Amino acid sequence: MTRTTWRASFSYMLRHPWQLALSLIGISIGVAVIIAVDLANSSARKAFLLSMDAVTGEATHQVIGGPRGVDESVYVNLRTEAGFEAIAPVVEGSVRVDGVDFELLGVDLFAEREIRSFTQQPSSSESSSDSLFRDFLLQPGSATMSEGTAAGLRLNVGDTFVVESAGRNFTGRLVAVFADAESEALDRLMTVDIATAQKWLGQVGWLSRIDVRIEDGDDATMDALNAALPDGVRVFDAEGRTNTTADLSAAFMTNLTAMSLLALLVGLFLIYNSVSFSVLQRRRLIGVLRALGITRRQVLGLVLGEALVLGTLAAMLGVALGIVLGEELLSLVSRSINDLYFRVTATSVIVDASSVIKGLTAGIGASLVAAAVPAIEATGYQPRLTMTRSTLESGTRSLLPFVALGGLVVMLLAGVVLLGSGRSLVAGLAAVFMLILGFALCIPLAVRYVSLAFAPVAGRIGRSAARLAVAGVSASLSRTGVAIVALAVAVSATIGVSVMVDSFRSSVSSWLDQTLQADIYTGVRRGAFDPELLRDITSLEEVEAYSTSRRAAIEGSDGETQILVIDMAPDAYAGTELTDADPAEVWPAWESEDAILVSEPYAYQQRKQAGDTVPLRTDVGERDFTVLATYRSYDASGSAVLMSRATYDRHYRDDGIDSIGLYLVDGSDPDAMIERIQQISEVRQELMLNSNAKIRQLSLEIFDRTFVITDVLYWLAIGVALIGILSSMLALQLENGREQGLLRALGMTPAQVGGMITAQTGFIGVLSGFASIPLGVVMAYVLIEVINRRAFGWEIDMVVAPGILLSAILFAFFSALAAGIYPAWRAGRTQPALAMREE
Amino acid sequence: MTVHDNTLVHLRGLSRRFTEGEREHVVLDGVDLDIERGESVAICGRSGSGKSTLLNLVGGIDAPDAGEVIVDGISLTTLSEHERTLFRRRHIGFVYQAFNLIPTLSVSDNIRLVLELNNVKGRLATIRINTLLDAVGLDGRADSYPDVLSGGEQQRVAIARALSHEPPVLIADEPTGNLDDATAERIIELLSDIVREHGTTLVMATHSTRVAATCDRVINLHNGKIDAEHVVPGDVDSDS
Amino acid sequence: MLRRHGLFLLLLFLHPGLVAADDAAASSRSELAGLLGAGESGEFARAVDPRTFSFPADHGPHEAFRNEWWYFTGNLDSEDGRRFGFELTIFRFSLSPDPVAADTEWRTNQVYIAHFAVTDADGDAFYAAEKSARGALGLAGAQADPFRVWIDDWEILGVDDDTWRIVAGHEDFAVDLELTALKPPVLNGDAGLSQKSDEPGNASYYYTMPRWRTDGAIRIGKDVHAVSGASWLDREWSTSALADDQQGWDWFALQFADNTELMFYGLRKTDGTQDPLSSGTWINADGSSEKLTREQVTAEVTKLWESPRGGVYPAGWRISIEDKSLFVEVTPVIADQELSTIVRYWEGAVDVSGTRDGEPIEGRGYVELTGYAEDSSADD
Repeated sequence: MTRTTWRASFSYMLRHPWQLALSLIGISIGVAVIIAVDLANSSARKAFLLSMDAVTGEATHQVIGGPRGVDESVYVNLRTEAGFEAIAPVVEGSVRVDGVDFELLGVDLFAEREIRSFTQQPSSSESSSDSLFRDFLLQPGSATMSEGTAAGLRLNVGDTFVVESAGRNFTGRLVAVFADAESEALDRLMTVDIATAQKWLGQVGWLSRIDVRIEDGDDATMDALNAALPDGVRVFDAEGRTNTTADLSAAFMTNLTAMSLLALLVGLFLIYNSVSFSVLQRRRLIGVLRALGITRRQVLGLVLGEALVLGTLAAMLGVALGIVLGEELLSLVSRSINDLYFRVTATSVIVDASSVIKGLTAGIGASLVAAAVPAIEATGYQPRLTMTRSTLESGTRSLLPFVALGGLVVMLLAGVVLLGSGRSLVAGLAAVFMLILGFALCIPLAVRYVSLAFAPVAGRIGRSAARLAVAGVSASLSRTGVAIVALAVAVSATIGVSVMVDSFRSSVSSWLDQTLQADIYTGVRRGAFDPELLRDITSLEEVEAYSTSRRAAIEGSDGETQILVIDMAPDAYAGTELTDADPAEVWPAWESEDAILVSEPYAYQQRKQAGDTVPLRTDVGERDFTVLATYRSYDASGSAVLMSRATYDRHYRDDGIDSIGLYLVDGSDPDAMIERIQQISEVRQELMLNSNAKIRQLSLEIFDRTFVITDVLYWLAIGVALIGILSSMLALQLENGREQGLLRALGMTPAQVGGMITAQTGFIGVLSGFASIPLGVVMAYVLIEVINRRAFGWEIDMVVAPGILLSAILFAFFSALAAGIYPAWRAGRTQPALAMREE
Repeated sequence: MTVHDNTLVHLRGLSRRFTEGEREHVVLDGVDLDIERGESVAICGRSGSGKSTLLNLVGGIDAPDAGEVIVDGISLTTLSEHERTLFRRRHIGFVYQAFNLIPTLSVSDNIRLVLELNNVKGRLATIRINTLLDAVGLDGRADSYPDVLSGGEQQRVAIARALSHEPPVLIADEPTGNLDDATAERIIELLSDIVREHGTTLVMATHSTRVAATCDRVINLHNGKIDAEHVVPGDVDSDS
Repeated sequence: MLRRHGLFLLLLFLHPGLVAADDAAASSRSELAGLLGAGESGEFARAVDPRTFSFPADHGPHEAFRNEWWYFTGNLDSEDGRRFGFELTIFRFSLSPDPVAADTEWRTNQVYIAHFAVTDADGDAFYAAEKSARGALGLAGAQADPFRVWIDDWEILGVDDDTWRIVAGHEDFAVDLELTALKPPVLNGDAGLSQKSDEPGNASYYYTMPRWRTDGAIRIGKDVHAVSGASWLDREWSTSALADDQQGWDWFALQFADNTELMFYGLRKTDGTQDPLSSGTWINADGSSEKLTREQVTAEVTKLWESPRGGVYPAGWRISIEDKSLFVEVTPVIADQELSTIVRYWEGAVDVSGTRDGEPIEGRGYVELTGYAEDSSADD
């Protein structure tokens, strides 16, 4: 290939800057979304792992106890009796400073040397040579944190601050700061002496865990450790624990990645569109080049070469854009992870090579794949033959049935994958993509038939110009088809996700209606009720009855089991819907036997049903609990088991109560009651105090917040699709310049020509909107029945609100119209003299 | 300057320049021309002699840099682009070398489009289309699409379309340029017959003297000026 | 006599990484000034006047004083003739004059640090380890009756009035020894008040139990050796600070075959001279003792040893006490008995041989050398 050939090729691109720019933008956004999601995911995960790494330190294992933790005497025994040296006690919990949640790490500095280094190495302390050890030991409330964290709180060494924990306020004092390491591993982490941590967290006498360092393969030490531990306390692999926690969010992240791929898929159509257009535009040039002796292979190379250059440029742009976008997504991702899974404080993305490579590969790969079809087509151009457009279109047309047939096959395959892939989330998502692809392949044929059928109708309604507009859509299928597909896919994704979210929300909402039986709910943020306060509140005369609840987590070798411990008021039983058993039989057994109920997500994920048993570690050793029934729950912690207070008390030394539901005597005013409790609790313990209605509202707010990121992602996909329409319409307009010139010469005004183009884009929008409905509804069904189930285990009743479908069509219509404004304006400005120009 | 009663196209001092970068091309340089109602005029000249530009100016597609264009008593130079569009719609029919049918519309719809622009609708339009197609010898092809028609057939449709709204002026730009001789001859015949029949004024650019010879008058353009003008004395076969 | 040294140790421990590697001693002293700031230390008890010692109460802790230690060294032989030495020292520190309000069991102002070392002379090997803990929750502590001082599972405890037990172990070395006191406590200095500088109160209470019959076992790696021999206990508590011009010290605890003992420490000033307050105690076979002044004892260095970790130590002495007609050579049983703990120092078993009253005399003992390490970061 000669330089001149390339010059011919690139000067073409440069003379069509908008086409170049739109292709670049389209691919860039696709790549950017992929990179952004990947970065946000990996940064959130990395931030979590890094902070776990820092907090875990050199510990290889962790000794974990029951719901309250490990009795501190276990630690003393390990040191003084069993002679373990490489162990360190940890009291851990969450506190609030200045409205922000902090991880509180309570340590014994003397034991830290074996496990963690950062806790003992402040980069600065007060100017006097008072030592960290002195402050920690002597001054309750002495705390250290990273420089960045301190700066975030506007704290200097020596300053005091208010720490809110379990509804009470304490005074902290910053005695030293750590240098921010290369990572933000220590962000929002506050280290204090173990005594301070016990006091603040209300855990006097208890440790959250004991960190242990045991050399690899030192079975003797491991055996000795196991032997030294009492019932109800066990050794866990530290890395395993961290990974199990990190994996909680894996399904969530997989779903985000899938959504980011959607943007690229839509982008792929766009690339295909612009490359094939540029090839068509140059069929004469290519014909001449072929006549001059350039081989088919060289033509292929030329087109793919262009795609490569374009793809590379766009991918690089996308990487830059993706990093910026990633910062925005990160805060959404970490907020959702915080709401749903575990504490993570990732404040800036960690750009790693693998994310960048992924994005570049996706962008360049997509460009080449999308360019392959038109490139192959270009090699078929005969030397000097000038084809007319209509021949090309009829070529396209004759292919349509085969393409559609292929689409049907792909959709069938998607069904096979769905049925045959068991519980695999990735396979489920792959099937969704196959479904989209298969459906997309069927769209052009459908569009052709629809527009053929509509052309006479349009002619009757809007005369020849309208007929012209409609017929143009079908006639230029090679261009418009792809634009329609892109918009339809993007809009169907919004339908699918909206229907899913909408169904989910309505299920949650009716669940809330049923679950929230009490009049008032009150609880302590991360902590337990002051028993006296609890007594005072529940003995108020307006209180007819009350339920108590406690959340506990028991770790087993394959992860944590969330236990919801409830002491039910008589009216509370009705609030728990059993899906597979008779309440009259279940409840008495649940109260008295070693039995539990399992939530739907738990039942799905752990494959448990009524009659099975669940082994749980208790303070008196491991016990099997019989599953009595499955209950419906959309609790944020999702996978949980429900245990009666009586059963819990028989197995665990923990009398804590997190929250209570108050049933008031008929005729009492909940708001007045809330005020009253507020007065009682004031200065004793700060309570979260909400009426039935308020807690319902708060729950739905959190629900909505979780889906913000979903919204953002599909808006980005729609953005790409709209760029596709803009690009297609501009391409058509350029290509049909002569025709539009002719219409102008024949006496059509610019407004008429523009109106025709607008009608055409509007028609494209409506077609896309209609095409998106079946795909969207099927997608919603798959999302609800397959993806959601596999990812989270929720059972959701599908509700298709007509409003969503209608608004999808309207949305597609208006957004296409919007994308058509500029092309229409340009078309109106076509010079009639163009019609005279010989091709 | 007076305009003769029977003069349909009246051009005075017509100049048109195009600039390309630094350079300026004078395409038309002070052209004076009167064409009478019902007259057919061939504009001859080499490529680049300004034929198409002259046609564009007469058809209201383009506006001159200097001079006056009066068609059917309307001074085009005083019209806005929008008014010129409406003028074209009513007064001008176009026939192009490349036929320029709209590929996405059927034969009849290609004609209907122009009729509709002139507010001829419904049955009236259908009758008119059938009459026209009959006149150009394409009855029965009304529902065909341009891509299945031969070049000659396409040009027939174009002629029918150009005359559908009975414009006083028909502008034809190398109407036989893309056709073989035999077909060209039949198209020219059709054109002159139909123009004569309708009393339409024909302004046709061509470089075929044979085609030019079918016109009442032949005008030679050279370097933007009218070189020689003569009335065709009869049916002289002088194709070179 | 790691007494002052112990303070260094604490400070360095409390400020790892803060001490410039090549200026450890100087930095430590300024840190010391910070920790033992005059304003606060005024509230600690001070060793000003001689006091009445009473046992077993004084074997227990004296938490009103800033620092205190239980300091055991000993020379042991196995049944098959292998020669061992051991050191187990437990330091106690009060971080504040007054006890702190105990909001949880973990809250305390008491800190304990321990050093444990074993010398395997025939194996030419030296083992050392250290521990630290807060004096709370039973993790570490000291009590008089029943007597017990411990950190984790290292402990010195009273079995009965005259018999104590030492248990300590770390990875590849351990001791489990039973000790019987052969002599009652000997009060050093002026009836137990040991002046460290001219400033009043800059002194410690200091007693020694110079000879304990010792039987038990030493484990090196997987090999357990039944051992017997003699041990030495130093006990000291104070609130005093090291003077700015003091560089380090050489401390000798020698047990002679004729059942007499010598304790002597030489305080070295930064200018290389010996501090006049250097002193010692001579203990007769019957347990009676007399104070030795600096002028009465000369210790001439006969050999040097260069630590592979940096610094040149004396490695042989000729000690002369004219008054006692004692002329002995003191020789380390192996050269490298340097503890690479957070603060580096040399504490090792020595052999003694020479003449007393013209008769040949043999002996064994322990020597402690501080302030010689250069580039004294511990974690090399």
